[in-house]
Amino acid sequence: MLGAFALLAGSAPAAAQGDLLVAPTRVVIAGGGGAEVVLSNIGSAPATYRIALELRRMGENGDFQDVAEAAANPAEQAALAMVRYAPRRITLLPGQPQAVRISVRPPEGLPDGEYRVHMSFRAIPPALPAEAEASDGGVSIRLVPVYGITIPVIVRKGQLDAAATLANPRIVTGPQGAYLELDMTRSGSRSTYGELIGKSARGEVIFDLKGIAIYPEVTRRAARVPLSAEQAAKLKGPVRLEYRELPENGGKLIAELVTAIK
Amino acid sequence: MRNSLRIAAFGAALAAASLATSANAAATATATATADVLNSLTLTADSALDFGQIAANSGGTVTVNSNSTVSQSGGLVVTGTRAPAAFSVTGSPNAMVGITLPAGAVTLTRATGTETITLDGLNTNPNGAFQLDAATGKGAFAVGGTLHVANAQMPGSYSGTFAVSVEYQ
Repeated sequence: MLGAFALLAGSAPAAAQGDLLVAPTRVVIAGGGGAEVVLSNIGSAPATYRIALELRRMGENGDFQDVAEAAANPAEQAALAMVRYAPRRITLLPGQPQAVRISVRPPEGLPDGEYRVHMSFRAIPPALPAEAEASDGGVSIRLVPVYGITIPVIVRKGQLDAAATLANPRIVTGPQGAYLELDMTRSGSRSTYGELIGKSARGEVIFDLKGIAIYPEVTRRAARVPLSAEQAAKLKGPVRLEYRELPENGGKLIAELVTAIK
Repeated sequence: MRNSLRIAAFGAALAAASLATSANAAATATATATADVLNSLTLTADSALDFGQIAANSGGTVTVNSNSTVSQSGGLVVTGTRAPAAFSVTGSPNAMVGITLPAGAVTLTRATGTETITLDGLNTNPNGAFQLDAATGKGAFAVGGTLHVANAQMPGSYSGTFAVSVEYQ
């Protein structure tokens, strides 16, 4: 190439167009039925959102991996087929909320089990303005994040059970500070979901990590609890670790471990 | 009973939604009021992924990492601000939030042609899931990556999108 060219990349700040709020953030439907989720535009400009179903698989570190529809297993295909929702596209003014209705009709003969999709709410990026630059023979770059929130939509059919265990808690110090690492195992035919609570021998709550799920595709996952120096100090010695359902779901104990951390 | 519970939960969700929208500036108070219920999650984009100004005689790569470290290779000269994309999350205090990025490369295509530039090596800081603040329910993360400029890259305006999503872990 003759001469130099210039790349002008993403110099405009991302407008807060498409900022969003979603509530609730988890939907569980037993058998068939429906639910509603509210999407709200919390940005400063009107925005159009697309609602879609996506697939995710949990990894052993608790992170989600995106799964392409072509790579879906039979249970994931069944989940995609039985979850209906409307509308699929919503344009909202700033501050305006709207409900998305979800309905589930399990097909005849569906095997008992837990089926799950992740419903995504993403802002459709606004049309790009006409390009004025690049007339000088340069190259300009525009990278637009299509950002959004996903929530699990879980369908349970039949009598399902699950149990979990906690093991091997250890304090690890990384570049971003100390954290408690813990192995969680799950057995049975459905996911578990709850909070992870660390208590001292005297019953004082040292940490409380909300919203920890172990999905059916994994039988074990690690949990990482970020700790302040004070929390790390308090955790050394005898502790009680509890994995409980959230208080609004009854607060039932799923698993506990009484141990001493070095 | 079940039905009324569901309606109550929906009402609470709507209330949370409208509260958070009408009082976005005072989101702290809202988050505290709903501290024990994982009933809402918000995501806002604060700044774009910026690769600065690049002048080149030949191809190369420009990397902007999510931890704000930058580098380049090949015959590229980079000036100006380089910064990762920044996002803010507000939800329930102490909750864990996971980030999902595309597994593969992102393609940017020239506006009036078919030539492409790829972006890969997408990474986030913090890496993986992170915990929302115990008091405010707020969190933030950054996204970076590596841009591959070919030798004799066709001049023009290249654009592309990449998907970022968050979910309670």
